[in-house]
Amino acid sequence: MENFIKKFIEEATDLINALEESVLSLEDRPEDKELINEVFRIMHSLKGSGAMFGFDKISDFTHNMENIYDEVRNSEKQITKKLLDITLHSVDHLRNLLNVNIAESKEVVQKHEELNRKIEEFLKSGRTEKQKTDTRINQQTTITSGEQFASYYIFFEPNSDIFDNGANPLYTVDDLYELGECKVFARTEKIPHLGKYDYSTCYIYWEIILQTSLDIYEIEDVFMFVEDDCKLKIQKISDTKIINNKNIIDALSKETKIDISKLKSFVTDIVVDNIVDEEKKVSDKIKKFKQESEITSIRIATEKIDQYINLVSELVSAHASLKLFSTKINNSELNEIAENIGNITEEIRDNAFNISLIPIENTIVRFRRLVRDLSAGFGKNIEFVTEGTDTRIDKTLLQIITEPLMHIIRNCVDHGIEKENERIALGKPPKGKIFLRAYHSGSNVHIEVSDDGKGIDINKVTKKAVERGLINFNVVLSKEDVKNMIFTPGFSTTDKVSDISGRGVGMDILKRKIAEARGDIDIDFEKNKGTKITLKIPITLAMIDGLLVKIGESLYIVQLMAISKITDIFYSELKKTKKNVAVIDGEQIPFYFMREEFEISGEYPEENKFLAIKYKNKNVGLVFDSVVGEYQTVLKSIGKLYKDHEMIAGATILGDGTVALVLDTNKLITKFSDKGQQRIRN
Amino acid sequence: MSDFLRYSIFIFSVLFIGIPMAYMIFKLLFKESVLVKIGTVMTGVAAFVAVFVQLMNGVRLIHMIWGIPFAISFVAVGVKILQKIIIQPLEKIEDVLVIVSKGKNDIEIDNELLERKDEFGKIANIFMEMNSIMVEIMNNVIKVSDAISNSGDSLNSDSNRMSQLTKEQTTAVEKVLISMKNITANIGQNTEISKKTLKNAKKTAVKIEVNDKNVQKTVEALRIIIKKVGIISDIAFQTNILSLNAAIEASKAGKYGKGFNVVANEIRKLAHKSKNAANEIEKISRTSIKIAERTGRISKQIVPDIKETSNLTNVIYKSSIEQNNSAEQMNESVRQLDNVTQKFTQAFQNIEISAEELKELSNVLSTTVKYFREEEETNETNEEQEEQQNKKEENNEINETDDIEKDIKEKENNEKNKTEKIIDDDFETF
Amino acid sequence: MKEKQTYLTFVLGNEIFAADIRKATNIIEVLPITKVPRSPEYMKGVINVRGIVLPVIDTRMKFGMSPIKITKNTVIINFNIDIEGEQSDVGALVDAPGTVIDISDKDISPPPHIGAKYKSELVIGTFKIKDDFIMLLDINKVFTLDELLEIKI
Repeated sequence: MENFIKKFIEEATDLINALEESVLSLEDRPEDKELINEVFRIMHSLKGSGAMFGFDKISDFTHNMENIYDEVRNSEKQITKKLLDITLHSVDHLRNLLNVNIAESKEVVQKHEELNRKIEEFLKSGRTEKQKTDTRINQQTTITSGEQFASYYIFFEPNSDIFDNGANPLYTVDDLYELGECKVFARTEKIPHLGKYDYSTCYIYWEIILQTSLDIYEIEDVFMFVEDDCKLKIQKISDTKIINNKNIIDALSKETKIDISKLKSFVTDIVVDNIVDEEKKVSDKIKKFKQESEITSIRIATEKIDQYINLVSELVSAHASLKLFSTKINNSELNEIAENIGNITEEIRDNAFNISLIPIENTIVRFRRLVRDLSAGFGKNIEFVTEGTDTRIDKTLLQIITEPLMHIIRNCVDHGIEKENERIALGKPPKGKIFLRAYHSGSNVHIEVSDDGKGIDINKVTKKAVERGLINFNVVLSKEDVKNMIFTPGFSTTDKVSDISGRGVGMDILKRKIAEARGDIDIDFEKNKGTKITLKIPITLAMIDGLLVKIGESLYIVQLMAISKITDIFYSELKKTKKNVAVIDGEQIPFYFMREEFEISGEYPEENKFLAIKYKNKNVGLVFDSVVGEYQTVLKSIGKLYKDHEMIAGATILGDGTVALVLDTNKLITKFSDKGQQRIRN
Repeated sequence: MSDFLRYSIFIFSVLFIGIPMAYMIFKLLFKESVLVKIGTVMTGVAAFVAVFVQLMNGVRLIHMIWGIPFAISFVAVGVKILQKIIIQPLEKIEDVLVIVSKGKNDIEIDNELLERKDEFGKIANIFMEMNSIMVEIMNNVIKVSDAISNSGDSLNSDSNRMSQLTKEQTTAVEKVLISMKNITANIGQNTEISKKTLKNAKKTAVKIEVNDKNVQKTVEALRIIIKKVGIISDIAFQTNILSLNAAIEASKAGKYGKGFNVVANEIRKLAHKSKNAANEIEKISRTSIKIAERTGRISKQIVPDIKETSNLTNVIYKSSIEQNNSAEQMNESVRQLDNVTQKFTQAFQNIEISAEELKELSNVLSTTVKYFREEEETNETNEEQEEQQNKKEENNEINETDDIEKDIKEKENNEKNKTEKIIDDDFETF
Repeated sequence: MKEKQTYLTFVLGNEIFAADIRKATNIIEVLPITKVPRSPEYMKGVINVRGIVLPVIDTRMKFGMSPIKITKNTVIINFNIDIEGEQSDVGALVDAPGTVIDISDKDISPPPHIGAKYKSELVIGTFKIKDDFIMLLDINKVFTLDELLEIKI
């Protein structure tokens, strides 16, 4: 049961997120029927499953909400700002209700009552006339396309011992509802007197009129599991719909047993003109239902995905071993097989990573809400536009970047976009705009957040920097300097400390946070034009584009993104340099001998590889024996035991099954330089 | 002074003045002719008859009767002298001729006769000269015929000897042939034996190799067993770990894992048992491997010996085949040699016949010439001087004949050498 | 009186230790270890256990013994320990795996206080199986304490 509840919470969270998204969209497009239906559907689902898993409050609460949206759906009510506000509050509330820890807290209970009251009030108010809605729907449905419908007569009499097989004929009958509209006549005359009743015997049989666009075979499929245990007769009685013809149905109801020939003649006798409309309406409904019931996605526990990814990376390593072996054997057939498996493995790997990724959409909803709430708080009129929200990214990374993104958006709302009057004075459109754009770039995802606000004032930054003692009084800062300055710890340019931003932890913390996700952050701005912050995040933490390097027999992976250049260099030349600073292409680059730093015995080969690594906007060299080549690295944790070992970002499994360590060059260099300083001190 | 003196002076004068004077006159008239002597004799006779007559004149007739014997004696002396002058040399010449006609040529003529300047002297000298020439010729003929006879003899004997030798050679060759046959047979036997030995050695080597291979296989198999046992003990080890892991898993299942834990324990026990069994098998296998390896080592040591034997036998086999071949060749050569020898024998027989013929011819010659020789021999006894002279001559002759013999011998030798050479050559060519 | 508790034993040098079996995740054979630079010597590095990277500790060194020599008996016991409130897996290299034993609490005697080799908080108790004297460890402490040996005065 616990598992089911867990599953329900997961599902409900998703539903609530979707609900929030839909509600926010409704704000822009209040007339969008699809959106209204979506909201209604989600409410309905929440109500159903909530009741099922004992979340009665959710069930009750959504019941009322469902009612409202049912009315809206039926055009009995209009979408208003008030309704959306209530709905959004309800969304928040639903989240609280899902959280078992706080669901019973006083605040939540209070809120629950308050909201319920509001909803009820809203329900009572402004009810429009029903008939009006009907005609509207009719009008609408006439436009929708018509499919070829036929009516069938189904005689279904389960054998009396059908329960022994664990089958429930009722479910089968229920299944028929999914095919189309049904009129079911349950014939119960066989049910004996209670004294003679045997619970394991089936006494009932059914006569069903089904009208569907599907053919007879698909109807037969429904009875697939019971066909050996029942008497079944399926017969087409008409090429038209007859269920909505009251005359027919009424007539049928009266009968205790339907005579098919009679029915057929009956059907053909009656010609109903207004049936067409009815038909269309029904078909539309069915179509809708079908769409809703179609399973387009399945839900998989993240740990299962992790497991899957693990297995896939194992498969990748296994294939690497196979490839190694096949090149050794050099049998063309084997090579071919290995290559084939390699291709499939690669596909599986890509597919696996794709599966493990989730669209950033999920998080974006929260930003929409954020912008809405904040702009109201600041009295600003801001439009939040998104693009590429279906871009997928590793869920852990998404979690890591959500907070920094929120921070960035807050900054945009708080500092970036001016008040309406200021904007008008500057000749800008009164409504500010925050644009979030996500897109793939190689194995990275770029997320841009830009606003059309005031941008960053270089003079202001300079002034601030001087104030903070970060630079001398007479220094003139360039744009590049400012960019760097912004990421300096303890730097914030706001005059006023608001409750949202301006605590001066802004950009530097962002940068650190992003680095955690092995990403990078970039800023661009122009005074009075706007600011653009770009996050470059790897798609997944599980995979990095690595460079396989070698010292002696040890192999290491360096993140390709971190390398600015690779140079062949002679060891004797490096040995000659003073204070370990080499001049590469005219640039003075301090460097470290990895062999010495890692205490690996042996000597460097005369010709070795000098990797220039980006470190604090400068290059730092790391000297390796050789470069093996690029390596698509599946990153794995090396365990808590090495938690203090920051310079090792993780490990990966090579083709031969051995482990290669993945170096975190940033931390590595920091560590080396610290040690260097210590050394100097000592 | 009486008549006697006068007579004496007359005789004296006749003897010392008349006769020489007659001689001188005749000499002047007839020079060297017998007539000188005859004339002289006549003169003397006449003188003496004259003296005698004178004397007689004074002497009674009875004295004259005495005078007849004187006259007869005078005439007898004159005839005697004539006889001495004419008949004696003729007789002498006759004697000599008789001797010569009897085939003897060691004749002597009185120097008296020879010194005579008259016709008899001349005849005697010419005859002597002729005789000496004849003797010389005779001697030469004899010498030659002797030489021929000798050389024929020696040739004959040589050819006999040669024939003998070739006969001996033929026998020798035949003997060689026989022994060659034996040798060939022996070699053949050798070849056969070495062939068999080789075969056996090879068979043995192969058998030992097979044996060695089997030992190796055994060792290999044992190694595999050890390896497999290693796998088994690995499996046992892994099973142990597995059972421990199972126990760990069981512990996680709480009380539901109890039964599972029992199973895991049982598996662990089995793993231990397997491990022990594996260890034992490994131990045994290692001992077996040592034994097998020792066996293998020994048989490996044998193999090269056998191989060497086989190789040596092979060498023997090959050389005996070669021997056989050369024996065969030798056989052939000997056979050819035999042929040649036989041809030689025949040739020598031919030579013998020719030598015989030659000998006969020389005998005829020498008998012919001996006719003279035998007389000579009888004369020898008669006339010592001549004999001595002959001896002297003979010595010379002997020397000469020696030379001739030498020549002939040399020639023969050359011939021999030639034939020998030919044989040699033949040998060489074979 | 509580039920019997199951313990997993293992061998270090010539000493036998036991740990609560529930703390163990699994036992694995030794795999190639990747050394992590600039880490203490007893932290042998990391290994790949079926696609998961597991840090490996030379337990012998942690217990003040000579560094471990990898033999075919050497195994890694994967313990799930608590590091600052977070669960984490750590591989402990031990000379040989022991066995699984059920011991009831009454058979466990308190650790000796006098002359103890290891810190008192490390050893929960001791018990004897046949002739083997087994020290029952708080496995968490093995990996979280910096020093396991009692410093002798």
